[in-house]
Amino acid sequence: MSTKLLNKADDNLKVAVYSESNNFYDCAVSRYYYYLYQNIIVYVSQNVVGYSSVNTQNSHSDTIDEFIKSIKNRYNLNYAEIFKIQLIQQLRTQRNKSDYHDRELKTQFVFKRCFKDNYDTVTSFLKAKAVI
Amino acid sequence: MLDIVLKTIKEIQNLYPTLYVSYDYLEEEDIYEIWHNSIDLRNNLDFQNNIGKIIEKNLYNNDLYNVFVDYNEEKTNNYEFYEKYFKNFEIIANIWDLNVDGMLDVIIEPITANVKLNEGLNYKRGKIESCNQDYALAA
Repeated sequence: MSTKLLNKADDNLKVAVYSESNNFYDCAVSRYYYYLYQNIIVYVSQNVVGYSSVNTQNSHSDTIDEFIKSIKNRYNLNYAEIFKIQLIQQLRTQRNKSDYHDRELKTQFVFKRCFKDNYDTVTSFLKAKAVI
Repeated sequence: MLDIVLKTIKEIQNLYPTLYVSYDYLEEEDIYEIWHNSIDLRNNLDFQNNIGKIIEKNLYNNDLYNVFVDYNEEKTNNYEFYEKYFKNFEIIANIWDLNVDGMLDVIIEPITANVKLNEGLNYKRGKIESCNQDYALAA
C-alpha cells in the first residue's frame, strides 16, 4: 500500500510543479498539499500504533495531529523545528481555501506568501529528517 | 482551548509589542489560526525559537495540535487597509460621539469599489474579519 500511495504522491508533485509553472496557483496548492499529506499518511501508518490509513474516519485533522506528535517525540525537536512543523496546519487551511472557497491566488507573489514559502520550509525540514 | 490561545497571543505580544497579533477559529478545519502582520519575522530564527518555545509550552505539552502561528497575507492587507483608511476616522467619530457604524456604511461602498474589494470591507473594532480582497492589489 505504501509504495502505491507514494507513487500517487509523486504524481501529485508532478502536477503541482506543472500547475505552478503554468500559473494555476490554487491547483498547485491542492496538489502540493496532497503530495505532502500522502507522505504523512504513509509515515503515520508505519510509525503510529493503532493508526490505519484505510480507516476513513481518520480525518486530515487527526492524521496531521498524530504526525506532528510523532515527529516531535521521535526527533526531540528544538524550538525552531517545532515552529516549522506547526506550519503544516497553515498549509491545510490554504488547501481548503484553494479547493472550496471563493478566492483566487492570481500571482506568484501571493502564492508564495500564502502557501509556497511555508510548503518549502516544511518539506525541506522533513526531507532533512528523512521523513519524506 | 480559547483561553490557551489568548494566553499564547498575550505572550507573543509581550515579546513583540509592535507586532499586531490576532486569531481566528476556522470551523471547517477545526483549527485556531494565530496570525500576525510581519512577513519579515517568518524566517527570523529568533522569532522561530521564541514562538516554537511558546507553542511547545502552551499547546503541544497540553496535547493541542490544531493550532498554528504564522504571518497571514490576506488578513494583514485587510488590517493595513483599515489602519490606513478608517482608524483615524473612527477615533475622531468616537470623540464626537457620532454613529460611526452608520457613517461607515455610507462611505464604505464607494471606497471599496475604488480599491476593487470583492465583497466590501468587513471590519470590527480591534479585529479585522475575513474579507475577500482582490489579490492583484498586493502584488
